[in-house]
Amino acid sequence: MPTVTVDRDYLLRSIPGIYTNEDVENICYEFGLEVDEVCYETWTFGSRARSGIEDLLPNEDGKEEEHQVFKIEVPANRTDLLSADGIIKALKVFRGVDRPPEFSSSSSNVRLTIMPEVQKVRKYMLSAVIRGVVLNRLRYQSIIDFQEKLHQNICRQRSLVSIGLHDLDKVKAPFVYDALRPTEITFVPLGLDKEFRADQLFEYYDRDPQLRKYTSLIRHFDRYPVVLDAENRILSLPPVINGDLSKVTLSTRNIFVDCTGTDWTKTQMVIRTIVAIISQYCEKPFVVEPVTIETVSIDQSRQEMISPSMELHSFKLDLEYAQKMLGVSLLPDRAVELLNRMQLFATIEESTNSLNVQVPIHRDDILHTCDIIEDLAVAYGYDNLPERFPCTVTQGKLLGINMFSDLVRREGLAQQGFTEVLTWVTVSQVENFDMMQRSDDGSTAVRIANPKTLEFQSCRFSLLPGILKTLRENRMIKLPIHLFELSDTVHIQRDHEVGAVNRRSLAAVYCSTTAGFELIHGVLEHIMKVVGLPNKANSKGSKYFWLDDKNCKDNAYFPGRRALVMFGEREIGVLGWIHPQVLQNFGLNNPCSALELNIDLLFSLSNHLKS
Amino acid sequence: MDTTMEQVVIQELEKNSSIPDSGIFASERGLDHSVLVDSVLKSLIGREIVEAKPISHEHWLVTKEGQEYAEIGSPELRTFQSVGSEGATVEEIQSKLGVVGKLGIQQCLKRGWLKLDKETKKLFPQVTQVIDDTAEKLKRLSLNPQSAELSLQDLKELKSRKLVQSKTLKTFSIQKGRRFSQFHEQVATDLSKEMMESGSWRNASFKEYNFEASGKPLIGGFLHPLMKVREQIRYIFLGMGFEEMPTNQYVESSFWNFDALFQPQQHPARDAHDTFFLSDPAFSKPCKDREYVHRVCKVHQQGAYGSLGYRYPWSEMESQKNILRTHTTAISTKMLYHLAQKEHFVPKKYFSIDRVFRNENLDATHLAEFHQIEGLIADRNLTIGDLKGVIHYFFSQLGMSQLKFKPTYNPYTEPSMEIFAFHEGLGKWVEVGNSGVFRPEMLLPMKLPEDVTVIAWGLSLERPTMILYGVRNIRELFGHKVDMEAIQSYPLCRLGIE
Repeated sequence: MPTVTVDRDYLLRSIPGIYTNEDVENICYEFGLEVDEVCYETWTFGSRARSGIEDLLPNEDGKEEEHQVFKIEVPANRTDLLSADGIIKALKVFRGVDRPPEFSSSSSNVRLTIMPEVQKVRKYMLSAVIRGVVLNRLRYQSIIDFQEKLHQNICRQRSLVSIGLHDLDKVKAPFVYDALRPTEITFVPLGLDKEFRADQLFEYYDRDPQLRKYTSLIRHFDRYPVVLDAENRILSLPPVINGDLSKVTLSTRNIFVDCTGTDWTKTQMVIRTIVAIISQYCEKPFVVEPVTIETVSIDQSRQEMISPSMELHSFKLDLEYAQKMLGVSLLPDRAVELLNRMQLFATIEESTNSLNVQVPIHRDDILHTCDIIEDLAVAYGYDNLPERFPCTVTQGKLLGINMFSDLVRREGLAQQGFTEVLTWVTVSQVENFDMMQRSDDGSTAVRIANPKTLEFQSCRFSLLPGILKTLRENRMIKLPIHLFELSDTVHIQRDHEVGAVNRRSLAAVYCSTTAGFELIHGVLEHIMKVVGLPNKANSKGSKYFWLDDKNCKDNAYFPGRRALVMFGEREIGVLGWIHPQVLQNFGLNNPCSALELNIDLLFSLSNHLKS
Repeated sequence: MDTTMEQVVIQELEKNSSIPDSGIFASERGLDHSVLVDSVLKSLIGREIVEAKPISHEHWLVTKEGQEYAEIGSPELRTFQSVGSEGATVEEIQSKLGVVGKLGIQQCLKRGWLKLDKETKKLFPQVTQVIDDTAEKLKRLSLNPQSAELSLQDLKELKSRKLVQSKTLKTFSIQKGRRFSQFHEQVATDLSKEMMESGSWRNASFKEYNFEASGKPLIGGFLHPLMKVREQIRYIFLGMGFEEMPTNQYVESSFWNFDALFQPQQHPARDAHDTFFLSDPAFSKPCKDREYVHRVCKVHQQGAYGSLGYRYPWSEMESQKNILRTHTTAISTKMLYHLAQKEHFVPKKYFSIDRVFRNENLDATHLAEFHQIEGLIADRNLTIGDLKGVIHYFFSQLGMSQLKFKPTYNPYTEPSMEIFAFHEGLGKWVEVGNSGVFRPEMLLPMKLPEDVTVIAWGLSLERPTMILYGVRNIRELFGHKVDMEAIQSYPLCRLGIE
């Protein structure tokens, strides 16, 4: 979940009745935020590419001030809370000391044309004008942080959406969104002091690990998207960088917002959230001036729209349904008041005992009435909702294979002096095959595409590598060692729905100064006795378990001291001396014997025999 | 232990109540003193049958030279005997007797047995008969090394002639001990089969047991602590009427892990950063229920069932990407889907405890795989109060009865509640789990009846286990870096035992 930095003094000053860190933690808790930490931070006025805002220098004396901040964890779906001012506003409304914002739009003065060419590169652009903003250092910082958080989260590192802010008075409307060849784009990028041509600029940014991520989003196109003003000057090269020309400063009064994207819904959500947050800094707060956008299609047809859409989604909330979910009875007025505290407007429709709930432009997280019910529950207080034990009547039941596994673990192994270990499903490719002297036929082990380290390259199809690693890590303990693990291995099975299945498996290892084949053989016989599978002497029919040494080709085991465990004609496992070379591969000096069994098979065979 | 020698000592003490000197006692009875001390006295003293005080003795050993003289006569005797009445010169004696002659001449002169005639330079006998007292003394000493019969003067002289050496010998004076009377009782350390058969255990006395000492360590098997905790939690679920889900399927399609749960395809959890994607098998087969796939697609892409949806182009290919499941909720979702396909809805309570995988960086509290505990109830008329109630009962069984709930966000539950418990040891509230009501966008495409609510909660198995057994580093608990000796020392898991 994203974390937002909020200045402590500012927060305490802004919300009446909140005096201490504990107060802040409590109100955050109730609202569903979490104060991660309270710490000191210096103001960061470093260059932020594409923030569209000029770098602010530290104080005149050159020293960076320290201030105390809260690091607040925000739910991933609440983009409006990615802004410190968004959080403060939400908490104020939640406490009932402020009204939810009522957004309105003025008439549109600025036009933007989207050209056909750019739609092949970065299809969407939405825009807005916010007039009469009053900025100060705190607001300025808050805007930079907010924009950065949006880019990191909902914008998915600018791949879905990217945002540029511009000083409207430094450029000339109308604007054009077009795509040009890199060699045709020349401008002074934000944060640099000279003109660059786009292709040279991208080469220059190759040295910048941050910006390199963004150039790669459009580099493969032969044209790059640009936002131009009436005099063909470049405002921005989305999603990479803004022009120096239109940068926002503390004295900027009118802001032009550009939101370009590849995902229509997200682009809309972002522009709505941006204007909702920045418009609170206006002399007349929450008034947005829309931009008229004309889209020219490839066939030259033209379509006009007003951006941003200030349309409110409305939901009909059946109060009976809400009460049923919450388990409390709510009067309509009370429900409206509770929703207001979550920044939702609602009107009562008495005839249907329901509420008509309007969702403001920055609450795009609300998709369904269940989201509204959650807001109702939060405003009511989760801890105030009455509790009861559900009266659903059902039969308790454990899974057969799990119960069987538990019995084998206990009676087959632990009671015989074996200690249980639990190792990871993921192993390295080398541990799976080479170190075990087992060869990869490409249809055995499930492989992981994106492991962070070698340990997570593939899934084990045998429990032995994990146990041998456990022995390696516990070399100092006294011999003899008896270990076992009974859990799932993973096997490719092409005809299965996902192409791989789990198998309940057992591996038991005996390690001492001698390999002790007889001992591990004894373990096998004991387990067979426990699960009720007969040996030759006790079998009345032709089905009994036996050792097939002729056909055992498993090179993890030593030739002449290895055998397949068979039941009738079915192979159910393998046992033997672990090959000394394998032991050495795992850095082990003491001889070991091992037994591996397919517990799934053992389970079904023993079930079959029982019936 | 030499029982006969022991008997001799005991009989002597019974007769005379003490043995003044073990050395004398041994030589009188022809016993080897060192055997007497080592294998009899020490044991008797240990059992407090006797007490003993040490006595130091000066002890004389006849040297090899001394032994020779004792046997064949001293040099002075042999010298005296070699000189006839006609006398002999020093040279004649020495050429006949060698060194012995030289030593003998000195002694004979000293004792006045021979005298040197200055004119003839010959030695002549002065007495007719001599007694070889030197040999006599040496003989006596070798028979009785402590002999005080020789005067100190004699011993000094023999010592100066290097015919004897002095040595200190330790003997004991022996008295009856505290438990002398118990000697005849059988003192045994353990009860034996023979004692059982002979019935001697009836009169036997046993060596006192040291109850401060440790017992003998067992060589036995042990179950893994995570599995011990898992077992108890399964019993808790069982007692609450929950049915275990078949979660033995680690490889899952993105469809069942994410899409079916209404988790959008651009959600950060579906990033390579957080999830293990597979390169083989990379894709699963398309879900066979095409209508269900279409309903899932629609609710993502356009919205449905009263939901606005996420409004993005949903890709079936993306949903077929295979992963190692990130939660067991992938299985719960399938279970609910199958439940929805039944002709009549049947209320269900499901649970599972099994492994899930996250592509995380490892640290003391995070591993790339861990065990998720999950419980869910599907029924009509369930409220948030029911969810709170079932969670409260469940956690009280885990020893956490003081709970509170915090609003949170999960993509597939709404409302969602984080569960906090008051930890007595830490004296603060700690997050212990997550919960919520499954979204209609997840349930309705399955065709579950509209009035059916599904409430669910989850937590990790590792967290309570670490708290329970005081494990600081998760790697010492789960995986190959486990501390084997620790596994063998953890106590019972008493969760759910009231």
